[in-house]
Amino acid sequence: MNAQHYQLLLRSFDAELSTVEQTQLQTALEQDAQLRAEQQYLQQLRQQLGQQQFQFGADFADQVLQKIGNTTRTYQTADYITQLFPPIAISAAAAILLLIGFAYYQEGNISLRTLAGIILDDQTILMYYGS
Amino acid sequence: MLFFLFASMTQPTDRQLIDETLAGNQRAFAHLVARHSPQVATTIISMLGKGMAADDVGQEVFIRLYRSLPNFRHESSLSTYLTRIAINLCLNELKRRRLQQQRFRFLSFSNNSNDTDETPSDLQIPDLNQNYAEQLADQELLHKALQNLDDNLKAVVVLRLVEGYSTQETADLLHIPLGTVLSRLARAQTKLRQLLHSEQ
Repeated sequence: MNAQHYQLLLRSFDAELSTVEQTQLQTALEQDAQLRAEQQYLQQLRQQLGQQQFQFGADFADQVLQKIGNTTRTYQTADYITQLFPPIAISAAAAILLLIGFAYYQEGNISLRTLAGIILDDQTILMYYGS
Repeated sequence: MLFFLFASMTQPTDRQLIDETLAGNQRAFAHLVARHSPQVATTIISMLGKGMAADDVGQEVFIRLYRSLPNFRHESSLSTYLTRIAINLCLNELKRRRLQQQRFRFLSFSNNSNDTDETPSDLQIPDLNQNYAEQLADQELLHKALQNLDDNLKAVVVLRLVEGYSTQETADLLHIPLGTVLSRLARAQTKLRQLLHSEQ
């Protein structure tokens, strides 16, 4: 079988051949029995491929909906946490500012020691450092 | 309520089902899944073979559809949109499998290394067997042969010959030139012919 004719035959199923190519293929098909058999084979092959059909399991749609439900719930939880963050952050910042203000009011200055609530009078300093 | 009354009288269109889904009606989406799952299953199982992976990819296709429904513009039909998602997920899955095989140094018996888009000039077509009609009628055998094609050839065959898309639509779905689709189709048919012959 002529390889060029076989290629023309393959192309003829999916692309439009030029007039010259069509004539060439037609003549080849008339003269070559093997090429005619190939044409029939390929037609059947393509027909059988077109009949391939498959299905998912019976409860496929339910599984899809269940998965969508699960992912939606996860998104909702994440959204809820995201929404909760600003009020919590603002409250925490306000509490910290209040504590700093209170420490300043009590001690008259702001240092790590006053913020931590450590009150060091002269007696305590003497006890710890000895001078 | 009105939707189901309407649905009982006539088949709702995809657009109506999408609108109902967006309005919060989960049963409308279940209807869409039931309507399109056979076509999606055929695409995916033709690409990946039967098994758990095919079901998982199928579910992922519809989950992605559900998430993208608010942005769906109806520029292409829903079935084409689903095919696009399905074929991309299948190609990703096949790539993942191939990488996994390479990682464990397993031998792949498909000719991935010869995957070029050139049309073969030296054809080795075995003689037709007398019983080829019976052989072609064996859908399992055909499915098995399809599984042994290279990924790129398989994608073209599934879209063009199994799903029945035109060559231009196949090219658009795979983002490849029309000429590449034609040469891959020619190579795929020759390869299928050889694979089926070797099964005799």
